[in-house]
Amino acid sequence: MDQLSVTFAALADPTRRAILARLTEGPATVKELSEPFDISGPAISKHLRVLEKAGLITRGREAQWRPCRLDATPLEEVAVWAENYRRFWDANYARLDALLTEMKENDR
Amino acid sequence: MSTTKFGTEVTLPSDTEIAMTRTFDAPAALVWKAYTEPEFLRRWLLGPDGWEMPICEIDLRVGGQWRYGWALPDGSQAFEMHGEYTEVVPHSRIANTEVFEDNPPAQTVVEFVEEGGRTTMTTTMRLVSQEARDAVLATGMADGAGRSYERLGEVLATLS
Repeated sequence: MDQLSVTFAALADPTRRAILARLTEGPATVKELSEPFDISGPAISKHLRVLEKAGLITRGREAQWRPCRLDATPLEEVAVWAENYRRFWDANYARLDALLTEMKENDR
Repeated sequence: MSTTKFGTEVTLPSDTEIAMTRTFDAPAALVWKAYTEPEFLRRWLLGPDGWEMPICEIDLRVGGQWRYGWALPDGSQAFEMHGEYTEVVPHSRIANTEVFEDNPPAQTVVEFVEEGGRTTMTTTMRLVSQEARDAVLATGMADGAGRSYERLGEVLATLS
């Protein structure tokens, strides 16, 4: 899979998005990250592995503590993609608005 | 997973789909006409300002083909897409394949829902082809402004 697809797949899960939102405030341990969620440590670890594989987080070396940090790079790619996409279609739809107004007048 | 910025709502229903919703102040029959008749479609489906749509062929029936082509007014940077209609329900729903260059066909579904004289059009498609996407990304990367964590928060809000 290409990088953007991997990023989208990682972002498709609400728990993973919540983890990323938490990490925008700063690094956190697995324990801290699992606190707001009603799921097990191993389940959180699984989500963290998906995020790590997607390059969205990096983790410290220390065996016990291993703080997680957000890596913004792949999200920037998504942001740019989504923004361009929306801009592209919004220009089309603005023209369609004008055309529909004209068509309604001609219908009368 | 939505945003209403610019009036066009972009959502990510799954990791392979992207959907766009927009409401128009016109009945479904009229929006359908603007979407399915080349005379009208080529006046708005143009992307950034300055582009033209010299190719716009629509054979609107199940198994019928469509072909769109764009270019700058001097004929440069021309590219096109084509596909086949798999479902056609007048004033309500169109499903079709979409082929761009050598990429595997994408699937697109467009739904028209009228309420109180207004029509909401929802277009759902698999993520665009890699080449189309790369072209979009290249354009976006060119304006390259530095992006902060604050901006990323907005992105996450958009996606959640």
